[in-house]
Amino acid sequence: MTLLDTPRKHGDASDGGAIGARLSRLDGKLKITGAATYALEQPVDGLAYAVLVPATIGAGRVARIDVAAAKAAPGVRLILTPDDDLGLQPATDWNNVRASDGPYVPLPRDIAYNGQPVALVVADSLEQATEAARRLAIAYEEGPVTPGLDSPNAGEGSPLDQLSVAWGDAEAALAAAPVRVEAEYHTPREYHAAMEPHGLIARWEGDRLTVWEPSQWTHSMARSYAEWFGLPPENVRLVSPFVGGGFGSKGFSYGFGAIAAAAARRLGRPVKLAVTRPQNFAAYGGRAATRQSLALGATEDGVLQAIVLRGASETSTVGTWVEQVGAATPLMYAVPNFSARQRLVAVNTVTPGALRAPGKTPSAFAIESAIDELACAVGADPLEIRLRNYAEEDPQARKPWSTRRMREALAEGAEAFGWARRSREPRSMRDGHQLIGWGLATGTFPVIRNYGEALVRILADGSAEVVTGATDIGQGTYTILAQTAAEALGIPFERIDVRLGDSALPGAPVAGGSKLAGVMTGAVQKAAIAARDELIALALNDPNSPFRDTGANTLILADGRISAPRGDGPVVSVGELLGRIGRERIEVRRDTLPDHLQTPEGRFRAWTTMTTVQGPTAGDYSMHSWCAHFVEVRVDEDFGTIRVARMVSAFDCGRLYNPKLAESQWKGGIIMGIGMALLEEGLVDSRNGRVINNNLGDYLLPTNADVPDIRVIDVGIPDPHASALGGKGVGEVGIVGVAPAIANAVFHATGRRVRRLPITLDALV
Amino acid sequence: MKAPDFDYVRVRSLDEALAALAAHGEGARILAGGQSLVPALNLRLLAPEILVDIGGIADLSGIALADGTIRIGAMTRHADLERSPEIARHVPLLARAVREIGHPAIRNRGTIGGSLAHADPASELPACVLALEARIVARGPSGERTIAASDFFRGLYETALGPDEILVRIEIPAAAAGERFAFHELARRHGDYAMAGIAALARDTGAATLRIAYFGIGSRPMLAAGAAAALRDHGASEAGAAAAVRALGADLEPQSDLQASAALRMHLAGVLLRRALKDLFPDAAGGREEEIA
Repeated sequence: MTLLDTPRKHGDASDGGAIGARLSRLDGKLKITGAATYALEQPVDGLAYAVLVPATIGAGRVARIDVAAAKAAPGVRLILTPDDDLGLQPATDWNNVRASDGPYVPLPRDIAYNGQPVALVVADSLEQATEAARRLAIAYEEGPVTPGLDSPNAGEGSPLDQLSVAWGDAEAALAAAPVRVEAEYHTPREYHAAMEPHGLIARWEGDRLTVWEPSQWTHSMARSYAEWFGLPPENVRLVSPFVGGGFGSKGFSYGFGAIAAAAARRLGRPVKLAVTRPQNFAAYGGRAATRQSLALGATEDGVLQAIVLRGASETSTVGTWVEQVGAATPLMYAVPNFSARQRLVAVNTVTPGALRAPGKTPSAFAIESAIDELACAVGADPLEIRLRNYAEEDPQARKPWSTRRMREALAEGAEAFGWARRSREPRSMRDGHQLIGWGLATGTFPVIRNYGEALVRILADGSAEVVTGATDIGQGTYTILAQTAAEALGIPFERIDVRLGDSALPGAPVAGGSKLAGVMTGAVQKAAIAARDELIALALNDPNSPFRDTGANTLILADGRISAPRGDGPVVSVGELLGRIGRERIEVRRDTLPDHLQTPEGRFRAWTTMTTVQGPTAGDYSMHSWCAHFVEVRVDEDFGTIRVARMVSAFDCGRLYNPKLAESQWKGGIIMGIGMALLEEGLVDSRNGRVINNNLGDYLLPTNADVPDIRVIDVGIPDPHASALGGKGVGEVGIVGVAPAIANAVFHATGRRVRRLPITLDALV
Repeated sequence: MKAPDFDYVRVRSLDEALAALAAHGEGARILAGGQSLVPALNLRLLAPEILVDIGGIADLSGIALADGTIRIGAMTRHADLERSPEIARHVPLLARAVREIGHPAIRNRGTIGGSLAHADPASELPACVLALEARIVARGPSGERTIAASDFFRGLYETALGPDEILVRIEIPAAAAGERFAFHELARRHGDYAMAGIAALARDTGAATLRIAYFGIGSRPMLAAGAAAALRDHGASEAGAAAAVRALGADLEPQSDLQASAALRMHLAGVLLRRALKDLFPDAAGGREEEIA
């Protein structure tokens, strides 16, 4: 079944069916009332409490840890330090590669970054463990620290040749171009700062391990635990029914999880580890700091002739994370000559990780600022210059777009914002002390495809269940899967129950890369249609069915009732039919895997690694979500304070399965973009590599009062190439382009071009 | 995190409270509204032996006007100041400033006495009492003494209060006819502590009685006496404003932190002063920004 077999949808409630309806989140009431049970709230008997002890130096080694005083403290059960051999094996990474060079050591003696775990203290209560942890006497041998990307001793790093992109002769075309704009753009370390911090409860029963841990990917995280402890995969169950925000940080297991699970095994007692808020700034990585030197060459009309990007991002000294600063650069505009290269600089930090729209976000900051600078250089309107350079096909892959409604996004966004009333000159709009600026920037996020598996049950009471190990991290998986099943089964939405977030359930990819909705609606639809077909076959053929002798060759399911297409036969509820034919349930499990993955190894690989992912240009088309952000800022002329006064953003994300939830995702991304533009920055102590503002008082995120009226507009149409039901990715595109839109608006307000995020007062006064 | 162990006593009278302070010395901490103390305990920045809760002392709260002086009990909540018609009429600067303290939940619990005794340099009320020439009344073992606001704030979280004393009330001269005030504060994010703020008061329509106090700039709230003198000398003109801004260099000791550098704070202090002068002397400035800014 493909989109072509289903009626066309507009993606709103006018469609009549459950998919596309503006339904509230199924899990909303549970969360608002506190009834949703998060990982650390699981009631588990006999818990011991663990406290993680972080290194206080930026580099060097642990010389020794004197545990005597801590061991003597009341209630202490176990202390793990680098002196303990935890006996762990390496786990397979997302590329399906498993290191073979010795054991996995999550408590190493060598210190690569400030905040690296150096001990775990377990006691009968959290207070006892906290106090005992304070009594550890840790002696370090300090080494030289490279605190950050821009540190004098960081160096230029090493080239990432596999990320080099080039066509035409960009350097020559740039040199020959009559108009050139060239500048360096910087983005700082940023953090996920999810409302729910990380942590876990680990419980062993013999050789079986259950882990309650917030997760964007239950199957892969369970695999890590199994491999660390040398267990068959089925012996580990990772449970995560609700997640209080992940933003890319909860897709993987981390060292603290291995240490806590090892402690639980040694103690023979379940262990709870809550990673404290400050520790959440070093127990796993945020977005890497980046810098980009970006040059645009153009005609005097602003038609691009060349783009040359030279970028760098930071990683740790013990792991590789590439924040791909060229992720969006080659896609946004038609350009005949292009060259992008990136270097990777190792510094003393925890290995950075995926944070909402990795790569695309810093990438868009540079290219979308630069195109605004080009517009100024040639005296063009920022909207007009984007149309002059409109990419009619993917300039890099040379493939047609599957759908690209960027013109519509620009037009409808501009109309709703009132862009036509903008005066061209910077500092030309004001209200008393406030300089008013209007800015524009666009964004993109690729369509990433993968496979999923779901189980659908039609139950004797006429209700239905959808079951899969996929997770809902707040984006609405519960709700849209219920909508999908309701529409395919002809059973009302209210009568569909959804179970998620458990590695023991059917397979699913990571809730990351903005792909889970597209993947899992496809899998659920496939399973639900198979279940419906099985029910209809039984209704037509079972000796006790009222439809047996009606002569109908198919039946209709709608509103929980089954009837003949001509409407001249009996009308029976689904529950009644199951009763008549003596069936307790119909249960169907289906996956969307291709034939070559229909093996135990193939399935395991599909559910636990990224190796079965298909990128945006894997097929005949280049497939991406798109957006255009229009921003009004008000800058106090003397203080330099910046307030985002209003925003209008238009999105092409294909078909929306639930516009209410999609809009909520977009707005969440936009709010995160406001934080990126104006507030967020991990500040590092240059002496010891410590993140100084490692708390929510000092790491500034926008409050409600900092968030203006945000209007979002849907300009998408179903994209039959992107997913089974026609949707493209929704979750990440919203943040992409917000920071440059704000920076461009600040320029329009003040005449100051700020190329280093966040934009603070001192850049403007 | 949770607070370290401490004892707790809820006293019913000032005498009981003073006795508890006498018994425990510096190991005792007075619990008023708890909006700064309790977070500090939970962060384990403080580990007192005992908390002396003075919330049960009835006569420590309230606002009264007598003989041209407003008397505010130390346990009077910010929310009470915010809603008080007496404060609105007789100390309008205070009525304006309390609205900027944290959030409503904080204002429902926090007290004026607690805020002054805590002496957070970024707090609004210490700067206000400086501008208002308030008198701070403390009770100790040998009875009451009155401390001028300008002598009260000694340094970072440091006041003239002794460990055996309790701040009991604040006395503020009621506003005279023609009195004007100005109040501004700046934060990058709504609701955060100010990175710079100003409270200024002129007891009459001229600049002769002007008092200018800053908060969020240095280690304690500060009076900008040089700036005020410059305005007395030059009047509330552009020349006076320029001289006053220049004088801030000697008046203030701005500090650098994660929010702002000392240089940025000094710049902000100058802008705050010009904005305040515009509020205070709209006529002198001709009502037009250009003349004074």
